[in-house]
Amino acid sequence: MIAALAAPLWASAVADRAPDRTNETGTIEVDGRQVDVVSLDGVPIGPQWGGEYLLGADANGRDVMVRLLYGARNSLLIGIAAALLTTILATIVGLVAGYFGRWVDAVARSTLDVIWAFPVILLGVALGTTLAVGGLKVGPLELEAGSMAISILVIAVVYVPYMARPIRGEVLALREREFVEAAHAQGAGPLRTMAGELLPNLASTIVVFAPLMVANAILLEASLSFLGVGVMPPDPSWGNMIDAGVDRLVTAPHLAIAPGLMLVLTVLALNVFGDGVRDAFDPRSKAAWGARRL
Amino acid sequence: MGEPLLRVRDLTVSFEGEDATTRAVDGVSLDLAPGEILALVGESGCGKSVTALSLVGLLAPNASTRGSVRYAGRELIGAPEDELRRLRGEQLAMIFQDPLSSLNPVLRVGDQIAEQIRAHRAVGRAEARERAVELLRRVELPEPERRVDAYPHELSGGMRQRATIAMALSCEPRILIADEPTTALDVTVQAQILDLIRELRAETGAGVLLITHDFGVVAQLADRVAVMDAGRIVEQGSAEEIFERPREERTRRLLAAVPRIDGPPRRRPRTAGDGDGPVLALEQLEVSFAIRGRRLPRRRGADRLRAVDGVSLTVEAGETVGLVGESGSGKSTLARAAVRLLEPTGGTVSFAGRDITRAGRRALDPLRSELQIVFQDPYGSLNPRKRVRDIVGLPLRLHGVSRREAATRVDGLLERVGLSPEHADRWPHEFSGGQRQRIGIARALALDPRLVVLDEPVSALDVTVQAQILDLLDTLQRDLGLAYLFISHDLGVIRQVADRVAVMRAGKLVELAPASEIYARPAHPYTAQLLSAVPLPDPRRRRVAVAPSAR
Amino acid sequence: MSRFVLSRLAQMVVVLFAVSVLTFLIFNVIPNGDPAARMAGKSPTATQVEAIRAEWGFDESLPVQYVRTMEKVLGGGAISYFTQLNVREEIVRGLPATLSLAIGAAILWMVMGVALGLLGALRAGRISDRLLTFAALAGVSLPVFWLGALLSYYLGFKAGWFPNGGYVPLTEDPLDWAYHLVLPCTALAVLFVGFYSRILRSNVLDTLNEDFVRTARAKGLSERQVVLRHVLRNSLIPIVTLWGLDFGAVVAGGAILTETVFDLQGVGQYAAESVGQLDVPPVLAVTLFGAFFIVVLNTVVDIVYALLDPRIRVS
Repeated sequence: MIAALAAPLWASAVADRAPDRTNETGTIEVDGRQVDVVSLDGVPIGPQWGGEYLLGADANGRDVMVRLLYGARNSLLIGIAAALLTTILATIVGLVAGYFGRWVDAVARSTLDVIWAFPVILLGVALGTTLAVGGLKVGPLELEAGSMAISILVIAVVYVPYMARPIRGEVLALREREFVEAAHAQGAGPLRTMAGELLPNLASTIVVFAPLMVANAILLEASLSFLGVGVMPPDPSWGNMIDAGVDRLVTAPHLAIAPGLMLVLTVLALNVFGDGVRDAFDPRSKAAWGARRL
Repeated sequence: MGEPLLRVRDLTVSFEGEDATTRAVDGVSLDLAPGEILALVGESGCGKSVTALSLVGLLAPNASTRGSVRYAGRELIGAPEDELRRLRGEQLAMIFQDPLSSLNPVLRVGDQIAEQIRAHRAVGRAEARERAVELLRRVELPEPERRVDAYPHELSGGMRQRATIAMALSCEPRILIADEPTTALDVTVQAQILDLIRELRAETGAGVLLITHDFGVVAQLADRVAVMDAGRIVEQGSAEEIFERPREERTRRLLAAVPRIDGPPRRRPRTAGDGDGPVLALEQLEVSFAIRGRRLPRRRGADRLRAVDGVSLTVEAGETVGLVGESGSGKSTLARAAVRLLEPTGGTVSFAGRDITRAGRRALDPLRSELQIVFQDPYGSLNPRKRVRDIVGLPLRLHGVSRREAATRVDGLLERVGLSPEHADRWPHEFSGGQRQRIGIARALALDPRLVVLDEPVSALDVTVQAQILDLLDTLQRDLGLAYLFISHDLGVIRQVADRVAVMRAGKLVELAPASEIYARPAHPYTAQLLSAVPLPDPRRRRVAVAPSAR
Repeated sequence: MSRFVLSRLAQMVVVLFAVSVLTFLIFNVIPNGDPAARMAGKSPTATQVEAIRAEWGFDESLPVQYVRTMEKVLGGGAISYFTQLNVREEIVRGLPATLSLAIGAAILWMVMGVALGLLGALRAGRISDRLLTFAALAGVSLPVFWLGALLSYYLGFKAGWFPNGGYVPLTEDPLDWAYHLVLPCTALAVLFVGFYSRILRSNVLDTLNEDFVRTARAKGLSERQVVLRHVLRNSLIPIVTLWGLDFGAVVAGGAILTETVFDLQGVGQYAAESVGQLDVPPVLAVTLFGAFFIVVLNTVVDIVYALLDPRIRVS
């Protein structure tokens, strides 16, 4: 699994061809003959499985493999950054809401509910749309339109409730435990308690959620790019590559299949990894009550 | 003597773990005669529950059972599942310890009883329900027609256990296996349930296998006793034999460790006070909570729960004041208010003459060193993700002690409580319950307090470990001149440690007197009721049922 | 119980209000630039922009803008500047398709998810369970739009087993309606089946360890009774609420990808097309209505949960 993740990153550092170098009218040699990279009626060549155009070309003559790798870099970068941001925000919100309770919790919970009210995709689309043209300007924060930072921010915010809820739930449960009372009895203030007592116990939850968050973030990024509000062409992203490829499934199926497969494999690797992590932390042993035969 | 109802020979149960196989039960043999109550007693981990579960084949799939269990001529070990299932609930019924978790929370109580009836008898729903009501009546549950439709969480602990017993009896079993049936109950309720079991045994002639760690319960109920330790039966005999003429060392040690209300206190009473006035003084203390959404009758002022209602008491330097009460009496709330973990809503809390009732964090900080608390649950009171050194050292670090200095002092504290400095690097889960309580005590002592509030410090511990911890507390009190506010529901433990005793009920202080007087001549009827409900570990002095209403 | 219901309804109203404010902020305040120009679309003329500004009140104070916006969108007066069609009408037109897809997929994923989850739990640790888990994880990893495109192409276009897109109204031809929905529902359901089967499996394993299950066995109930009446029943309760929430999310716009790929002309697709054109009013309206729907559904789900689990009613 780690290999699946590492390969794109490493390879993109190694790729030597720029992903947006078009080659519409050029030709390459195939089996000794000269063939158009993009045929006269607009059909690009398929995978060559060796040398140039490893996985074929797209409608603009660009090398699919290279774009795939650069797209990997973009998608992974956005995914991981967004997940990281989500984790930090969700942990802070969950801790504060769960610890202080009462009105602080009520405010936090309502805010989360409101964000949660928007289905992930729709919120992402809405934000993506509105920020697509003019960029973002909230107080001191200013982001350019079409920049990756916007994608990261949008995805991160959208997923905060998803992660903050379980964290808050866990904080609520932990808060009642006696060792927290003990800390108070010794004079620990809120900050000390949250950081010193609660946070270490949250580590397992956070670690279990993290890979899943990255997986979800990558999927959301792909979806947004597919719809045209994420990473904008000519920058490659697996999502927008699939978008371009879907129109040409008939003539050049490799355009949609290649990025899709990469996406699936990466996300699957993350999910399997996350599942493994969860199992490692799960106190349920095999000796637990399985059901006998019915 | 006729043929025994249940004949167990050489029962051995092993569990397949990840790394090793553990033998929980090692060659246990016993007999149960019809109409007899046999108590299987021992400390936690001795294998008594596993033995009980293995009799009806209810162990986890990774358990392997060998030996022989014969019921009414049939061999149960290795019997086909169908056969065992037919016997379960119908001939051999079980009662478990915690009725709240043993009943399905989303199904009505009556439905759950009816379910058992219909599993073994060809009866329609209406009739099953009627039988359920009858059963509830038989176990003296008040208003059975109404309660039959209640959900488990709507009943009190005692009522739930009665319902569980009703469920177990529903098909007239010949053997009743009761696994710690009263451990989760208050002492007065426990007395009633024990009476109930005795009556039902007389009525039905069923044999009862009683699993418990409480020798008082054993003495009150059992005809014969088997003492278990580390998977083996150490000694078996009639109740009188075991209590009066125990042969084995282990049995003797267990019996000696039992805190008795009719026994002498653990250490000599001492004169308290150093002339400077009480260390802790509570004056008309009141702590009430607002309740939200509870289904209480709308009485004026009833929307606040008065957990502590006008309690006044003092603790002098060097003395131990025992605070006794059943669940819901408010004693835990009082403990927390006394160390200002909670803010009282009325009355005053004074420490060494200074009023700290409304003191904010800043004012309280210097006092934290003087006034500390030890908690009940050894498993919950230590942060599982911190090393012992950090746990015990936290109070020191919070008061500005350097890391290195704190480490040295932590080592010293650990030694004082009977542990060693090398334990400082370990994690809580590496320690036993008793050791964890020692760590909790070390933590409380870190800043040289004058008063330590102990909230049920030994309730979660085995009897022999309990005795050790009580000894430790006694030693520390003598050496360091500590004052204790010792809270417990166990009157026997209080007898061992307290100079003066305060009795609480429903938030109010009902009686406050020197220990010797309270135990010999209780002034308040509630105190008398409590004392009479405590099961004495002496089979010759069986209580006659006192008849307060069933709760 | 009624007190519980009332308090949840009150909360719902508050959240609805907050949602509408947030939507307003997202669309008109947070982004940089001139909201009127944004709304006008891709290449507006100056007069168009001015007209829009007057109509929506962008030259007035924020609270007034908010009221105007709500009036227009909720009152059905908003018009797409790209297609010149009334937004609310378009949404209503697309609703049947979206609902058909959502309901069909929801039932499919619930049934399959529960069945597979239960199966996995009962065979926990064995090979069949590991395979099921892997399949579930794969299901969760597949991007809906990719899967949908492939299904539509290979099973629809190439193999001709199913139509590769389009929607036939139920009233027109029930059989054809169902026929057209098979692929889209399957594509949408795959993602959720994976998710739900894992959650159910986890719940069931947890429940199997509970004391009351041991009691049920001690009562002599057959294993089947134990599993169905006790284990499954208790494990399903949290799932039911989750199902309600996800269903709401799908209707409110989660179907956007599936609808686009299969060309179902539903609400989601409408939003997607508007997005492509950077046409703001429809996206605004869909977002608002979608969020409202979810909030209302959330409240219903909470109430249903209290009905199913009596312990919740007291809290």
